[in-house]
Amino acid sequence: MSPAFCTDFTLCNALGRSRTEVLNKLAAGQTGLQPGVASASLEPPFSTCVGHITGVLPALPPALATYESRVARLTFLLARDIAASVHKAIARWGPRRVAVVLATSTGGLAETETAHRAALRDEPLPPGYGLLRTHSLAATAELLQAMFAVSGPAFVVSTACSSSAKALASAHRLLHTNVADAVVAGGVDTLCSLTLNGFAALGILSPTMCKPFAADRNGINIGEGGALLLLEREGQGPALLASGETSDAHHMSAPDPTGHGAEQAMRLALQHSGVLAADVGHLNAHGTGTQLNDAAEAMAIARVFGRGPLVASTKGYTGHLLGAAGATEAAFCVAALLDQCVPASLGSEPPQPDLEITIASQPQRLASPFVLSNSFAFGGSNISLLFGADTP
Amino acid sequence: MNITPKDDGLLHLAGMALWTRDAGSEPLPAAAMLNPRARGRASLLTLMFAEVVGQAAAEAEFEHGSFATVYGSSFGEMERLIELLHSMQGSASEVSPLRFQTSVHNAAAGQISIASKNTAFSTSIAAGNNTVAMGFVEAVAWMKTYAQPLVLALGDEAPPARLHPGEPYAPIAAAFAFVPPSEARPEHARLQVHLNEAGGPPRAGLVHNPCAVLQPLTAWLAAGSVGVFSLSGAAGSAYCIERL
Repeated sequence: MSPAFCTDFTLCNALGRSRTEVLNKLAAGQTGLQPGVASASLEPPFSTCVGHITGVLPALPPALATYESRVARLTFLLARDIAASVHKAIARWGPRRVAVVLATSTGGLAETETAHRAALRDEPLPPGYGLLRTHSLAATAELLQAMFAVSGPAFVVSTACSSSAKALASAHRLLHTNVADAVVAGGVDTLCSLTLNGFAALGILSPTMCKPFAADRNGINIGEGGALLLLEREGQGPALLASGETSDAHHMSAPDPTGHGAEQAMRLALQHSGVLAADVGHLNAHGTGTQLNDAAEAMAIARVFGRGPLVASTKGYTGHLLGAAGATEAAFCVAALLDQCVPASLGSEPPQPDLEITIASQPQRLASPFVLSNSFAFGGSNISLLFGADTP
Repeated sequence: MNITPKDDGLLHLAGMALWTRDAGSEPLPAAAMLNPRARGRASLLTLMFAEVVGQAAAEAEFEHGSFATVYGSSFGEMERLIELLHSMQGSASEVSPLRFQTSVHNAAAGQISIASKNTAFSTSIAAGNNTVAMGFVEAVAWMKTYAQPLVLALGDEAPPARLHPGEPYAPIAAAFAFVPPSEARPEHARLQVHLNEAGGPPRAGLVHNPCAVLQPLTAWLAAGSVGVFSLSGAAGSAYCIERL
């Protein structure tokens, strides 16, 4: 496939509200996770750590106010950060050739929880609440289309925790097949009661900081956040080279313990890019911190790469960002290529001794121009994204 | 602008199916792809998708479990979501893990891939009132990139009355099975997707099912007409399908 150049990107999550803040704390090995939930309306009846975005998110401008929701505010904050680059792309390619492919698993679910409670009490729905503009997953993509006044294809990918990695793969296909010349792509998700209570019901929330790949790992931490990447058909520097996507066809919420689907996703990404496994220097793992996920993923990585790449999970910094995880971790991969540095796998020490992979216990120099990011999800959805510092 | 140039990357339609709840129809689709236990647990949206994906794949003579899938739904598993929100009005422990894991937008994709042991690519998208059009765009881009058999399934349930206090509308789903050019036969419809220059503003309201256009689209394709069909209705942005 032709490369999709990442000409700008930004992030917001528990580590910070800008690319610089987030990447500085990542490099310093600081976590954004905190015990408890910093919102009275979300306080769950169990102990866990959460990656919460602190402070008030900026209000939407009046022209976009009908999209009001927390996830819309987060989308707006991110879009504002890369607006200059997006406007350059629009000037270069034209507004009809700029697409928007976002991802979210929750959309405006937090507001729908409030609206549903009101409806049950036979009270009016909250002012401004509507299914299409508040709840709908697609509202985030429509907001960006309206904000940037672009008219290329616009849609949202929603495949639970693989959503935003798959949004980047969809964006890449739009560029590769000449449907678009530039794509604003990424993912956004915010905290809500249903997500926290649902993962608690599945018995996989950790009461402490998550410990991906550690011997005593005991579950996940949920976080909120987002990342936007501007992908263009021409550019310089880091680029998305290929993706591999498979389905486990095994179980709705548990990974195939053999890791077969994950392995095939990684092999497809290599095959589609022409990059050799031995040339991949860093792998940002899905690494949620559950016993099952990390064991299956480590086996799959070992079969494809052996002990070659430095493996890091960044869930210990941000929590699991669900629909925003793939784009956030893709942005971390782009940063790793730019800075030639692999972040430490926070919480992984000491790693489970029988995992046959190399965990990055400290930040280390990246000695290769290729990195790979894994995302897996409910429904057995698997994706691996392969990035390169330059086109091969 | 064409996004499928006439000499390359056409969609070759080898199978098609529609399910909607109208006068005389069964209240629930048969969804024979799912085993009885899975069928009993599935939402209406998942049942509709299983029904139309199974029919379209069979008509296209796809091998069981060997085709890619693109699912599109504006609202996804709303029925399941409302059940969960109801359950949360009690204690948190009442959230059913089974219902939670099947409330995600790709719940149908997961259940159908498990039922058919299909390990191929699958994605699930949403695009509001443009969901049908964007489903075709995603299908075209995937087919042009990988040239492998694919089923595109699109549909929406009726909206929850409490959160959408307008006129109710009927649930609808349809599926379209596409073969790569190398496997196309003369009897397969050859489709081209257009992004027209003249688009209108998106509809703000929710009068019809966001996927309502599936009914006239499948009727138009079944009639074998040659020409252009608008996917977006009168006021939507102008995505069209041309049958060559």
